Amino acid sequence: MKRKILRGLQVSDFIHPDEEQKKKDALSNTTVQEFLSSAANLCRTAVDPVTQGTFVKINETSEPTLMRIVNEVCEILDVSPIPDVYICHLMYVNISPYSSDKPYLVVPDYVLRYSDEDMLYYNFGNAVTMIKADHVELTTLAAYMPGGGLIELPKLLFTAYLHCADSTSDRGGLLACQSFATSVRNHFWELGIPPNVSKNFLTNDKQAEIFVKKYLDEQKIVLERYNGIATQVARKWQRMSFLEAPANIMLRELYNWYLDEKGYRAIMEKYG
Amino acid sequence: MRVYKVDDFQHPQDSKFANDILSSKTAEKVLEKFHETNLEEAYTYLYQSSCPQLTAQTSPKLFELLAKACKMFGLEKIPSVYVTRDYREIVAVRGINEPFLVFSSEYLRKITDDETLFGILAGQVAAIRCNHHTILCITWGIDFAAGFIPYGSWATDPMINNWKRCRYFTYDRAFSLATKSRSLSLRQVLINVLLPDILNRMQNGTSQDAFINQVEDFLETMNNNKTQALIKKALSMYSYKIWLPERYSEINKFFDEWSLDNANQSL
Amino acid sequence: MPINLFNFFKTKPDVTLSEISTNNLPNFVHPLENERLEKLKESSVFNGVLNFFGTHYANFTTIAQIPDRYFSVTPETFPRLYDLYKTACKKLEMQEKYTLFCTMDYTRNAKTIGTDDNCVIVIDSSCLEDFSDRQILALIGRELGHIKMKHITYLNAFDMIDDLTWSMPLGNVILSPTLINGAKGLFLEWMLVAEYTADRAAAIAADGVQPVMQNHLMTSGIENADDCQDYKLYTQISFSQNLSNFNRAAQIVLMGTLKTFPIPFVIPRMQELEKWSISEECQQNFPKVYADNHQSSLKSTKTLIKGQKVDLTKNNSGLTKILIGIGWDINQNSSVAEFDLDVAAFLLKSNGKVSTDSDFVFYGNLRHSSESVEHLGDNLTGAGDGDDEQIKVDLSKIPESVDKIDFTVTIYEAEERNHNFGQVKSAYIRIINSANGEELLRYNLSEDFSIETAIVVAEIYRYKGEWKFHAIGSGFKGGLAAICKNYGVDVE
Repeated sequence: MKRKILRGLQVSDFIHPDEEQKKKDALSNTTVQEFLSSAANLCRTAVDPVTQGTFVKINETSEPTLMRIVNEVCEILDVSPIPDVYICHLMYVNISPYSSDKPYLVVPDYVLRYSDEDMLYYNFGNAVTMIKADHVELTTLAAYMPGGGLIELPKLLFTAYLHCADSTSDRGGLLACQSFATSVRNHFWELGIPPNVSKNFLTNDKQAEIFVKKYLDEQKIVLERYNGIATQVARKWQRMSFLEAPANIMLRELYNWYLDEKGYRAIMEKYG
Repeated sequence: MRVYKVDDFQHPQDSKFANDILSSKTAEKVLEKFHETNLEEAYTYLYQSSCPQLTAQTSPKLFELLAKACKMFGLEKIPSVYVTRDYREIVAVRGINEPFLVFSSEYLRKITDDETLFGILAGQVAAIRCNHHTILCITWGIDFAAGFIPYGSWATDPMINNWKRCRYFTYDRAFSLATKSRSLSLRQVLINVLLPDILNRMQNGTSQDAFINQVEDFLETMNNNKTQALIKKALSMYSYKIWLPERYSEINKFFDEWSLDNANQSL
Repeated sequence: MPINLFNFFKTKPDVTLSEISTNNLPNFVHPLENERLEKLKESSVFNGVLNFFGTHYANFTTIAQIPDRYFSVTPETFPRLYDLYKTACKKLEMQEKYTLFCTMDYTRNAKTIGTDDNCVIVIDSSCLEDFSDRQILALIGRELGHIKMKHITYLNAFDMIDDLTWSMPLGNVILSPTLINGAKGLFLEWMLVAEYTADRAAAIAADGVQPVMQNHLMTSGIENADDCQDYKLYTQISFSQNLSNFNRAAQIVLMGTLKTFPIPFVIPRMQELEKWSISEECQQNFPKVYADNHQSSLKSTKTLIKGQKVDLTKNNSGLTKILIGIGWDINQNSSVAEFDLDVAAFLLKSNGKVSTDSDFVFYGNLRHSSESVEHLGDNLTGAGDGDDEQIKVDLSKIPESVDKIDFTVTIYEAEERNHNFGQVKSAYIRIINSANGEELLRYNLSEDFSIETAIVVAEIYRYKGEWKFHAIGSGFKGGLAAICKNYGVDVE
């Protein structure tokens, strides 16, 4: 598939509208900012031995296909320099960026085993966008943040920001792969539909649009079945406090942005 | 065929810990408890009844190679082999007095050639010869008991995790002796991380080895950067993460020390 | 969240095992189940935990997050899976009122989460990857069996006990492990028997024990369905003891290890199921299950069902030349003259892709360069007993690099002519021994297709030096172009 290069692409073109505000709310004062910055530095230092000691770095010789995809994704999204890529042994469906002097990407072997090439474009695009949009330091810190006790309330502001950042990264993933069907397949994989199954009913963008609308309508009906007061309270709390935003909500966000006249299509026209 | 003795393949760090733990009063007490509570029988029953057993009928090649490995490493009785489904695990030796092997199906799937399988089986036979199964049970018992004391495991984890890591050096030595192939011995270190086609392009053990730079950078950083070394030490104490560069480096040292690249040389 | 501590240690739980009323479905509950449950109800600790769970815990944790984070299966979103669920409900005489979800996981398992009055069934994505339809039917049947027999609250409470003891700070000290594990020990004996009952439900739903056994083996570590065909290879072991023979101390210590295993005590479970499936009780009450277990799983059956894999050459020594015949009829409402279906063969490497475009054998490329595969063209003049198209295959000439050959049917210009497989009926594929004209096997595709314009009908594939046949019957949209893309063929 021939993809358009989006030279000059800015994060401000596709950033989630609430992200900046949520970031300000989370990092509201200098003390918090300094504390988080130090914590992020500590995390980065702590993570490096794990990366160098348990992951395997790849290059153009050992894995030419993957490196080609990373290079192309960076070109499409106008990101430089090209991050290094490591592979780890993990059952996880997302490629993660890690914070370091130079941010790098970590690809779980599970992703390589089951993704097709189009899906890798989305997945790398998502991860590279986190670097472009400057999310990496805080997301690396979030991965190691303890929970419970007094930290729960300030953590809520942090997670609100992270959820917006996730949405921005999803948009970046779509811009990188330039296929709504592929983006949806990645989301469905996270939800529980493996790529081998979703490829049969999501072969093009039009189909994906129709299917996602139908899916989201059905999902709303299902949600209403579990709407006792206790369940609603628990669900609200979980949505706010879990570091990862609920996958169904993220799918809805991406779908709305894809359809929005000022969203995906506008960017493709502007830069493509 | 030459039959290897334990001294030929057991890594000095593994040997030191094994001797320390097996001769300690704690080990004696734990083993006594196991005996009193009839734990070995219950434990073996649990594995026999919860994991499909591989046999010479279901996996003829595996058993052929296992028999060969047992002969080569001086193990009289061929252990039973079971399989389980676990993404993280690879292969483990279990049991107290009657050892058996438990493979993760995910790991077995990644072993695509007979020579590598032979080497891995040799590693597990070597583990049995070094009493790893007994030590694992003792460490499990210590862990279990430490769980009752608040933060009790903080005291016992460093010692246990350090041994859990260095036992891989013993497996790797046995693999090296069994296959006499430096590239295969190095390759198998990365088997659990890389898909086969990527692994084939890593050219382990050759002048184009794609992992060696990472190994050297890691070891240099640990030697020269005090902060990183401290962090690694802390991580090593509280998890049994296997440091791939250390395994890689130990294998290269073993080959160099014993000139194993020339297959006709003996130890 | 409010916790009524005074209710915590009630002696009788609010949730009780009620009598299950069925209409026509004979009883399949394991005889020991009720006896073990009575023993469990005597434990005040366990009853207290159960009461708390039944009224509070489930709503706050598990059920709350599932609709947000899991794929909701409905007739609209995943019709094929929903149909299997419908079939299982019908077989077990249950209503379709339990929501089905999928989640991303590696375990090849399913679980029912919640309480008996408020539960959902969650299927792991790896089941969708690796299990046949019949296996998924058995898996759903097992969960429905648990629901029908009101096991859910108890089974989930076991996990909650773990959560409380190990997640709370000093939980394993405060909650007295001996007390908790003592209750869990009683619970374990009941749980085993409850699983025996659920396995029977799975066999009833799938009309046989074979898929249940395959599920157990594949969940427990056997990678491929092919290696599970003869499940008896794994159940031959005989145990001189069982769990209740070991003293309480050993049982308590082992409690913590149970989670290491995908299915604890899977082999005794399989042995129990086998024993039941050949019993007189099963023969009288569930004749299909009884009959299925008497069919040899190693023989190639004449008529296959979707998902079934059988030996082709192992039981037919000397078989080299075969003829693949594919046929169909068009529904009466559709115009036959305009319908153009095309059969193709794709010679694939182990990664499921062609090596070159010439590995795609179709009306525009009738013979493969190796001469192992030859398409006999669109028009047949007689021989074939109703086959619309035929492909000749010489197994001995298939290149080593080819791991499998997929056979597909696509509708020519489907979008333009507004055609789909909903308008096609009685589609089948059959394999004939070219040497003597004997039909070796046949797979009749079901008529569940609607908007699909392409079908992967079946494949033959290498396995341990032999050739096997896999009845696939998987439809998708996009016609020939989509199928070609799937197999890595360059489409202009």
